Amino acid sequence: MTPIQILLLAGLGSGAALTAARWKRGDLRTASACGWGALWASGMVLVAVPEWANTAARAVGVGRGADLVTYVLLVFLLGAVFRLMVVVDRQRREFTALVRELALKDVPPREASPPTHAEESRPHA
Amino acid sequence: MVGDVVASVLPRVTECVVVDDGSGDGTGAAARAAGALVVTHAVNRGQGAALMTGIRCALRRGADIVVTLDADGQHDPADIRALVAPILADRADVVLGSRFLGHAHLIPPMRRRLLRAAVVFTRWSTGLDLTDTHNGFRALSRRAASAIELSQDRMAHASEILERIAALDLRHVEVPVAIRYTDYSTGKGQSAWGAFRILVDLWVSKVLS
Repeated sequence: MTPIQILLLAGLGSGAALTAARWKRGDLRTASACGWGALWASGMVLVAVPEWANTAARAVGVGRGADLVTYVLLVFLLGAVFRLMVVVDRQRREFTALVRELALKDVPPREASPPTHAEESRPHA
Repeated sequence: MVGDVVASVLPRVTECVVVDDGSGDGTGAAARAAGALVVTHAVNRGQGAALMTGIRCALRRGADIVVTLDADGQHDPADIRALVAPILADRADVVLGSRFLGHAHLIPPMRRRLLRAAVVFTRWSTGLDLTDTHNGFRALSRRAASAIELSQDRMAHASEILERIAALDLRHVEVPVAIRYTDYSTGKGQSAWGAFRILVDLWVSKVLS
């Protein structure tokens, strides 16, 4: 086994361990933990036995295993970025709504006194 | 600066609302001292978010007409009468100020080009035939102010509000207003980079919604 394989396996193994720890703490649903676990495991297998990636690449017409891994990762990362953008945008809207509610919570309705003649056509600014 | 704006606006309106968008420079205190009703964002959320908060506040205070204007002194409060006239006459629900129908003092050439581009973009994206699409001086009837919901927290709200006007089919009209460019307002205004960020914000909003 080459040094780069050892490094990659250590990184992927750490990811798997963190996923398992978060699942045990209840931070991660079982379905999500399984998905992440499958991702880490697939990576570890491809690193440990790169010939399998080459075989899979030839089967789908890519040529090299490294290229196949790059393409799959690109799709996965784009999907992850999009999902993150959705989450961040939702949280931004919720945060703004919260800040607005806090700003307005002590604003009383205007007293219902009849407007003076001069006020009748005056707007709010 | 904000105190002077409040002082010049107050004689022309029932009430003046200032949104302190998380500033740390005493803006809220200055506006309050000048007689404005100040609502404060605990943290900075951007011009669009502040505008929406100000409109919500005015509605809560029972406003029949809401006029929005910038606090940097570039708008002339004397134009408020012309802005609200079409709403009072029940000819419009939204009245948009246009610097190109009125007087724009010392408009920087780069700003003029960006605003022209924004007009073309707005015609393409909303179908609204306007002469000035990023002018914060506008008046809304209570019906329009209640119907328009803005989700853009930053500068893209100016385009979003036009999209909402078109989508809600609100009666709208432009009236001439004066804009006075100062070093302060120019520094706070749009740059080419700002225009690019507006386009990105609008695109992201379309993709995510």
